[in-house]
Amino acid sequence: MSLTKHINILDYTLLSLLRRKFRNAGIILVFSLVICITGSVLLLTYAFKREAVLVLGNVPELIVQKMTAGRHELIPVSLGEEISRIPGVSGVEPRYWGYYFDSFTKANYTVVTPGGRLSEGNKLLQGRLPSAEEKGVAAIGGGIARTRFLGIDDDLALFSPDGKLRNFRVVGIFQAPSELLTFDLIVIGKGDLQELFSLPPGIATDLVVGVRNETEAPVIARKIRERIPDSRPILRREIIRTYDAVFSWRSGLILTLFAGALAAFAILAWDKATGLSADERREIGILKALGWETSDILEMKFWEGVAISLTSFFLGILAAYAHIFFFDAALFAPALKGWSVIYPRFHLVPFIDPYQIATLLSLTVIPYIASTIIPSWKAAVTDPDEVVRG
Amino acid sequence: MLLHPGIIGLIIGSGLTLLLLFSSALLGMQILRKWDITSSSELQLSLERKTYLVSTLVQYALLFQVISAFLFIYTADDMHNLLVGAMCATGSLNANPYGFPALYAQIVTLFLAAAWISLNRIDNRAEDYPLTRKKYSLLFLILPAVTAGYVLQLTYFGSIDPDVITSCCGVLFSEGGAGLGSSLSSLPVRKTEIVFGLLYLLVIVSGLLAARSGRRPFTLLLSASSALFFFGAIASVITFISLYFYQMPSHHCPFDILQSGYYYVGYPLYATLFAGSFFGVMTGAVEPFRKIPSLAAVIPAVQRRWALTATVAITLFVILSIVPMVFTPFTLEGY
Amino acid sequence: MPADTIISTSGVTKYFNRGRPNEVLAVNGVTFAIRKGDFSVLKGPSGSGKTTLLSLIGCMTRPTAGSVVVAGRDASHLPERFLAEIRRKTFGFIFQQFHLIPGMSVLQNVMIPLYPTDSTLPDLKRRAAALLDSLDMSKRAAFPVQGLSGGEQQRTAIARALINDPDIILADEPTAHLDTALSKDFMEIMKGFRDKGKTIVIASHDPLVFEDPAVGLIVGMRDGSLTELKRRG
Repeated sequence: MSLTKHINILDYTLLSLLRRKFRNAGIILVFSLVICITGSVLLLTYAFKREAVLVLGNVPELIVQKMTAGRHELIPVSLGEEISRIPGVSGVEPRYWGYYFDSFTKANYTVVTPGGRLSEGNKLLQGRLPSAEEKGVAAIGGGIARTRFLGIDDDLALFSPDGKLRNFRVVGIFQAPSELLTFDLIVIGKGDLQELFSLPPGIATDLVVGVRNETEAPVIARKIRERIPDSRPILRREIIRTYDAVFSWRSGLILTLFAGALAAFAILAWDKATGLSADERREIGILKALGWETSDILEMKFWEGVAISLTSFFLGILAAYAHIFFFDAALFAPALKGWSVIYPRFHLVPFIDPYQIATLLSLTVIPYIASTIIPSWKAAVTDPDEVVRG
Repeated sequence: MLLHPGIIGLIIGSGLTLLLLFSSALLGMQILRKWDITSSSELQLSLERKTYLVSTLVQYALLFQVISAFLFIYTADDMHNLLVGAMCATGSLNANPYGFPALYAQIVTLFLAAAWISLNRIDNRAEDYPLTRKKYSLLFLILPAVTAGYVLQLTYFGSIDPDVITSCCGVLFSEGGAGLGSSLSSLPVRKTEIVFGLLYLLVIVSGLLAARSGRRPFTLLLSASSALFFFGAIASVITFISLYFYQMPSHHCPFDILQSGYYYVGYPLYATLFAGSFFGVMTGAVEPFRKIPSLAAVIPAVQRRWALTATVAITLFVILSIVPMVFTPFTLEGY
Repeated sequence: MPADTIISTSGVTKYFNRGRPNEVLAVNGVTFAIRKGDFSVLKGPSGSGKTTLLSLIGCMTRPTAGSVVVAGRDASHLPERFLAEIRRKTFGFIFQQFHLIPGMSVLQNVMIPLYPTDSTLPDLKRRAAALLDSLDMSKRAAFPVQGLSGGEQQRTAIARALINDPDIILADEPTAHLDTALSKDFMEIMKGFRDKGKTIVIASHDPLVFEDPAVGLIVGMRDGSLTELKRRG
């Protein structure tokens, strides 16, 4: 068992492919395009999923909101005491946050107070975070800084509900691995936030419940629901599952629609391979007459398939990677993004793993290779004496 | 649940595997019925050409099956976010009764297809193709395995019913969120370690003896010991080997080691284990063919090579498994 | 049968499209033997079956009936896989139209028969270069074959037939596309190989070939049957 023979056949195959440059370049071009489109769908889906995981990684395990008339309502901080008596709860912390619609940039900002898990892991590009007790200062997301042309020590002006203009001195600008997370974020002190949104004292937006054992979270959520019937506990896992299912489903849908194109490509490949030219038939006859065996020809055809698919695969996946991560999925972001379109600009974190590659292989290379088996075999069993008989 | 990119990939990828193996079995049936090596008829000539098609189909099917098997595990792993209480692929596969059987069927297909290819290789070295009948009969054994794998896999994904919240403002609790078993039950660590070591010793001894002499009792012993080692090794991966990679005393998942977080160590680990066990078992499995005159010279050489391959691969597997035990401070003592 | 027989056929018969309306009986019950070191010519008009007979003894096709024994091995019932092995190890082929593969260099064309073997590429290249050198073709080694003259193509085809160091050289109408001078050159090269102990079998209806005094065995064919079997010299 030596590899030499296989290397030789591979060498011959590459020589032989180079001789038919234009024909093969045509196949590679179309195939790369198919792989690029399929790959873009996959990469985008997984980038979104990961983005969601990054975002939700900062979301607490369990949040309790108050419901009134089926709508989310502000929650009294005092409810926290009752919740903290439930066994397995390690602590309850009120959160203050809200959305601010900015009529200049026509965008929604998320306003939060510092501390807790929200600001964890988000690097500040410049400056610092305000503390909870500080007044009149703010840290803002990169998106706000860009759209409102703000730098450190500039003033950020926001209107409170009574129509009064309030100014915050910018002391920090966010930088995060994922811009989705901090793009529209404004961090101000607790007192400022209560004033900006005119929140009455003793009332928070929601409560963060600390849980000792993560797997206990659903049980605790049920108990909270039992003790405080108008509360709505939200588990992080539930949110992740929703994101996950929705993104997978969307890309699945697109891929299904795209399956027609894939099938068309497989047929094209079949056709290309079946339409064995007289030249090629003659060449195989010569090779066989000179002592090549049917399985050597089959091996040559295998290498041919591998060379074409791998070249197309790399070209296609590179193009897809560039499309998604450098050109921000310009082609079909609108179809997949959904609720993310409110962001004026977004950059995804480059991410690729063996799972995506295996999926992409199954969707593109396997059908291509499979469609070339029969034509290759037909070529390989060409009679060697055909060339002698002329 | 079928509109998931991974599942679409599987429907296409393993669907094609099924198609290839089905066609090869159909061709195999034709060949079985009319094969006559002594004939010079055009029919025999065309059958002989079809044997090339069959072997090509099975070889490609094996290649696709390897990709599909990984894709299946990955997809199950990806699903764990959707399933309450599932922490990794083990949990996902436990989500309904079809998960693990689907995986087993895929592994059986993998082994059978590889065995077919090995038999074919041997057969092709004898001028009278003495194994033709056995070979094409074996195809009919592969067929149920691959069909079962495909059906079980689709049933598995079809029966997954994630509790999806329709919008992030709604909430929905899965009743009895006790969760799925995310770990496989493990055996007592110390005893498993001892059994693992003893089985390895058995493989090494029989493997080296078979590789040196190629004689009958050793090849059969190697077969038996590699088969036992395969199951012992899987049990050991679950019981203690994977825990050293995770550095966690209670995460018994044989699949997470395939992830980037563990430097994809699962790939070389399983590749060496599967290859080693396969060649070990095959060494003894071809023993009866020694009696065939045209193979009498071929088989012993092949057996010795396989025995050596099996010994080397399994040794690599063992080295890979004990690396984290030796080089990390983590210990399972006391668990 | 003499001990130095290298090729023998016995009642060898070949039908094409057997059992169909276009059935052709190309070779009909031919029995003859070639000895090691023979310079033999299969002679006959076109359509006489000499090319089919050549591909039967060259193990390119299996007989419908009868047997072909090459170097002591009965090739009539061997599976394709083993026929290819015999072709690769025993024969060097020179075809009527040379059948060089366009787009490849002279050197690569010469290497073709040994690609599916365990000789490494550098080794193969060395052997091919040495052969080309012996045929005065080394300056053309890197040249694409489609730009060669007829004589150069002929020499490339000869080098290719010799790369596997065959015992038997088979040539089908080798002079059909050559002028007289080149045809004579070709015969000289073949005589050189015969002198080195190779067995030569040429199918030809060119008098320049079969009337050459070096030819030791003439096998005459007409309508698929043997008409003449003459040993000379």
